Amino acid sequence: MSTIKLLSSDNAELAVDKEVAERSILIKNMLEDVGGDMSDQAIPIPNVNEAVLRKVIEWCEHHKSDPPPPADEDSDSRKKSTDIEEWDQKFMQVDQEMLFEIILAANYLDIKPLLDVGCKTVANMIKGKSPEEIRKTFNIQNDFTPEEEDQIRRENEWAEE
Amino acid sequence: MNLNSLPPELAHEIITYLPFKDVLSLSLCSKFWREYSVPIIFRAIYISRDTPKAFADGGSLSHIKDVVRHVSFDTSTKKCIQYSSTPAEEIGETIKYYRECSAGLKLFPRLDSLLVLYESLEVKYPKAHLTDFDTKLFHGFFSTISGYTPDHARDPGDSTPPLVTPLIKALHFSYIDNSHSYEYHGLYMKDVFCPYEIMSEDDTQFLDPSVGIDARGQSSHEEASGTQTSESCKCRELEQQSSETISKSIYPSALEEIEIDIMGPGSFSRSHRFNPLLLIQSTSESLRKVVLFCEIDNVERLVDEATLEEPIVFPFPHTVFPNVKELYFGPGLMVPILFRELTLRFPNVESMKVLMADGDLDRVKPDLLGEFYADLLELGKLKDIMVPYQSHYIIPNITGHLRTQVDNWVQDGLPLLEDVLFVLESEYPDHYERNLMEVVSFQIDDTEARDSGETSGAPNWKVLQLVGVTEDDLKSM
Repeated sequence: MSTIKLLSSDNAELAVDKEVAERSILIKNMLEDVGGDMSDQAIPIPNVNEAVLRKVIEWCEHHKSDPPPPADEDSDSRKKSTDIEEWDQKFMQVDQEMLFEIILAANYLDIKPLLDVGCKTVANMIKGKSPEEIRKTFNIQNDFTPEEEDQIRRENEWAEE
Repeated sequence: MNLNSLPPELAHEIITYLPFKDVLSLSLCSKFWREYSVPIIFRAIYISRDTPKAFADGGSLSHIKDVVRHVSFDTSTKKCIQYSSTPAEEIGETIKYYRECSAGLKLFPRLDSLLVLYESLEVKYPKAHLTDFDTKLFHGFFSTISGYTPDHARDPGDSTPPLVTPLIKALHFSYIDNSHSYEYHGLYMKDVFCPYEIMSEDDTQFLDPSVGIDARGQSSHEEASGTQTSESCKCRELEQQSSETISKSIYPSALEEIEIDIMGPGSFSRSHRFNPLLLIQSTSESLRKVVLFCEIDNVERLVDEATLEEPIVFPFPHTVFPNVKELYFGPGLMVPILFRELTLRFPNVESMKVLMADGDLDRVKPDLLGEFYADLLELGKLKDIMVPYQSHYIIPNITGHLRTQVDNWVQDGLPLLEDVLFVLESEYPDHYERNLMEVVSFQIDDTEARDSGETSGAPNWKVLQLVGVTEDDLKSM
């Protein structure tokens, strides 16, 4: 099995099975463009640091034989299920900084199933919480004036599910 | 790196996983999340008198007016209008509500669905002499959103009417009649002259609630009538034009789906009442799906009393709707004279359901059912049906019995039948003593074989019997 090398933003070189690295559509397309032979040269991943890249590779390793994800559904549609398989749940038990870095990396590297797991994890952290609880959980600054907040509460009453 | 510094596409992605109430909470967290929540929150709205201001230029939501696809008007549950302590106030509020909100609809360029929940004020305040109030209100409403102005009232400088009506594809109109003391006048098509008024500020006669009614809802009609005929009355009436002609030009013309609920005893009966069934008269070509709930008391008596001079007329537009494929209705319309009318109006229906709620099965009498089953044969294109089945005695081999019925239908005039659901009363209530139903389903085994003519004789049916079915389960079948 061929191995390729990835170069993180902080200049760490990581060796990965080509098959594992190709979970990233970005890398897959890149390899196709250069004719597949990148054995001697590391591919720079300028947006992702070593710790995050190792985490992402760990995920790709575990999921290397997953079937390809189904074609993208209508992006307008609301997704119902936030179920996450057990291994992925454990995998996502990281601090928030890392969680968001993984999401950004999955987005940059174009690994849709990992991106989905990340977004579902965040959604599950939001579910069932009051606005104040959400702010606390994610350390969000309330930048509304009390008047604005009142107005928003009134406007939200017009909303129909 | 935190939740507030995600790129927009990822913020959007996360929101799509959240149930609606959590999106509402998130929208209150910070400006960042407000921004990404509003397109989801305001896809469907209840409109109130403050709403148009917020979506108009300079309003807090003016940047997302194109996400609004559905608007609900509701003066029935008081969700949208302020509580009023007197009838005069309630009538006044209702008029202002419909006037301001109907004009506000033109703000939403992508609007394609409307819900109107209305409790008849004409009926609620019988002593207020609100003659034709409902008709005027909704003629006003639909003229406003259709941009219709009678020639003599047209402002020459105004060349841009708010054309909302052509955008509307789905309309749900719920007309609630809470009267319990109706005198019966028979079923007449509403085709009387009706004064037509635009809901503008200067239409004082109709719009000023202080005219004709005092705070207790009592009529002061006599005293007020003197001023009504004077020149100061700016009421715009269309001369000698029947309401039907007017309504044809103002009612939706591109509707694909309509649901009409007329709730209340005998709500059809008074000939001068606003008739929501006429809302579909201009949609003959476009209409695809119709859902109808209405009750008519004492239809049998009416049939007996009908004469040649005063025949029974189902208050339905005299139009054929050739493209309606789905027809769903409540058990009130299974009555033979009414159902036959439906078969004439919607001859090409492929999917038909009798929508039943708790307790409805009790009211379905076996002899009525026999006639209804026979009349079904008029709808020769039926593929899927859901119908009640009722018997006052236990039939030992119920599925065999029903299979015979299905085979008879296929043989006698419904050759395309693929899917038949019989809804039966269950012998056993559930733990909460709710009425439960049973469903016996017949599904054709091999449509291809039948279509290519390879099978001979009766088709093969897959039979499934479901017990413990609730009203909600039925809705999803």
